[in-house]
Amino acid sequence: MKSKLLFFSLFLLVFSCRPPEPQPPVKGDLEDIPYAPTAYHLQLPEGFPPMDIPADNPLTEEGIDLGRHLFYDPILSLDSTVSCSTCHLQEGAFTDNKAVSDGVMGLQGTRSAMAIMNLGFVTAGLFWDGRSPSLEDQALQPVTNPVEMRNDWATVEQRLRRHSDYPAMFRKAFGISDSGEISKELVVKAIAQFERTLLTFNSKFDKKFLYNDPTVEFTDSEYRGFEMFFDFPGSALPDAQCFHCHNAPLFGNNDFFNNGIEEVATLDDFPDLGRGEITGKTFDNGKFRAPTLRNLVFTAPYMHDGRFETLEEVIDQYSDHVHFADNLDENLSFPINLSESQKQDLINFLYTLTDSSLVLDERFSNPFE
Amino acid sequence: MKKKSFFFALFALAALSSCNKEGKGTVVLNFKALYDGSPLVMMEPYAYNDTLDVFFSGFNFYVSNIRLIKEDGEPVELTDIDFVDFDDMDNLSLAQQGFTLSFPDLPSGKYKAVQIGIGVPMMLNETRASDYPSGHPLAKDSHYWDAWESYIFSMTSGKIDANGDGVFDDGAVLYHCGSDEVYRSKELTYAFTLDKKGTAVIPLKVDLHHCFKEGDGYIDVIAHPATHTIDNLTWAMKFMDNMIQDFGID
Repeated sequence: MKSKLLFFSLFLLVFSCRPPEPQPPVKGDLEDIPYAPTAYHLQLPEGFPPMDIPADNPLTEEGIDLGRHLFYDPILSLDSTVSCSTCHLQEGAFTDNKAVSDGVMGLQGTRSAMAIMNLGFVTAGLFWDGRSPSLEDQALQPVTNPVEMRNDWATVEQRLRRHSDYPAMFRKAFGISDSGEISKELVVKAIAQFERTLLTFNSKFDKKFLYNDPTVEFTDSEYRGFEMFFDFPGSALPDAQCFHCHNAPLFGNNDFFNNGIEEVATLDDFPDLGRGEITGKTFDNGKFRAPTLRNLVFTAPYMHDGRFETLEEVIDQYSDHVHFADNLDENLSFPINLSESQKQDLINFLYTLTDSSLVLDERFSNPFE
Repeated sequence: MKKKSFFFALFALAALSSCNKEGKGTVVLNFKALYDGSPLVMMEPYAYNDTLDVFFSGFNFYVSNIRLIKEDGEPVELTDIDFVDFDDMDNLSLAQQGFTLSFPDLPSGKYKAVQIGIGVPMMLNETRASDYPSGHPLAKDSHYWDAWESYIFSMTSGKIDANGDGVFDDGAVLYHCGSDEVYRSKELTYAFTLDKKGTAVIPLKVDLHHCFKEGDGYIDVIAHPATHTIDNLTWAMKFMDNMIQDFGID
């Protein structure tokens, strides 16, 4: 009798220790939750281009909210330690201030995390090498990247379907009928919606030149930097060759350049082939996207591999240490040779592109805190 | 009775619609960039003059106010602005194919000429890249120069080998020509018939080497490597004058 009881107890113990079998989603289990998404209209300032928003992923308040939660939730990664926000911190204008980013299990990437701001205006490929055609496509990649989140989408979908909150949020954002309809496509749509709202256009430069605010004045130094940055006709100051790749109002460019930071014997010798790895063209080796210069004060270190810790180093590089290669951007083929005071003027102008509202805006902050 | 008139209307509509379709054709403008008469291949070295070799990494320009002129003189508008880009023509096959702009649904018939502008016309040049949605030819932020308040009408980039060592590190060619002063236009005589439902190809060419002509030789690109500010308009105008003069039927 005793042994029977013992056996029964053990059986109960073992059985109770087993994780619950995943329950298949019940068809229509979310239909009681109202689906009435509220359209969200981006308020873009005059002087900014219109943003391309995919017809199949219009912005809604519910979609953006869901995207914000997913952006900050480590549920996407293998060991639930890494979220999008791990490498894209709001206080860093949505980069991580590291030369190269950390992934799961202490693994390290090979490139610096790009700042996420005004990315909805990028039309010629995301990432440093432009390999991703849209924000939706871009968001697919870190989840399965072996260094970043090292997960697989089936696992992520299963976790989200079982979650206590997400099924209802997906319902409200996308009108799904049951949690089984939660898919990677909807996940990345939501994240892309949130990312399209990460806008910055309230810098001193914007107030002065986009909004013509009469109360905003540039210092003499900022003006000199401004003239060199944009190469104003009649200016006695040197052309710093900046605007070709960093034109206003976005201060980035939908193109890829070799900006002369790497000394190579041949075009095959770049340690990171960049754009060339995507196009397969040798002439594209060592080319990278020209990122926005907005909020540089928050986004150090600089360049695709984070090799420069300060803006002084960056300006020194362009002024005095550009390395020749056949595919060096021709705008950098002429020596710039700025004086020390001119370099400082340029940096002072770059600081006018600072918009701290991006890093303080609660709409962009971690919803779990 | 109602049914009969409905079918009559439907038949008439279909007939009218098919008439319209049959009366239309497509015109393709096929642009070829040449260098001394041969297809221009990007990144290929070329002799610039007796002492310099050069290769080009980019050559592109805006075309505008393109009209076909019918035999009776009536103009047919093709586009007010478009963009011709040879930057990716890095092999002979692509260079031989050239760059095409296609214009469907044009009235069939006999034509005698094509009018074309090189650059951005004054009215459009008052706008800026941020005024346009992506995909529009004028949305290219790399081709808008804030300080000039102008588009860059034509952009030519390349590198120079001046000492014959085969390394093109002795200078750069950077002819970025913009501002209303350098807008140029031309009428090219070209007789052709556009058949109903047919396609007519107009072969156009511009020789990049000829764009650098100066006197009996070529612009001294060591002394004048760039038309990079509006202060240096002389060479931008020279380049664009040469370009429109050379631009023609292939």
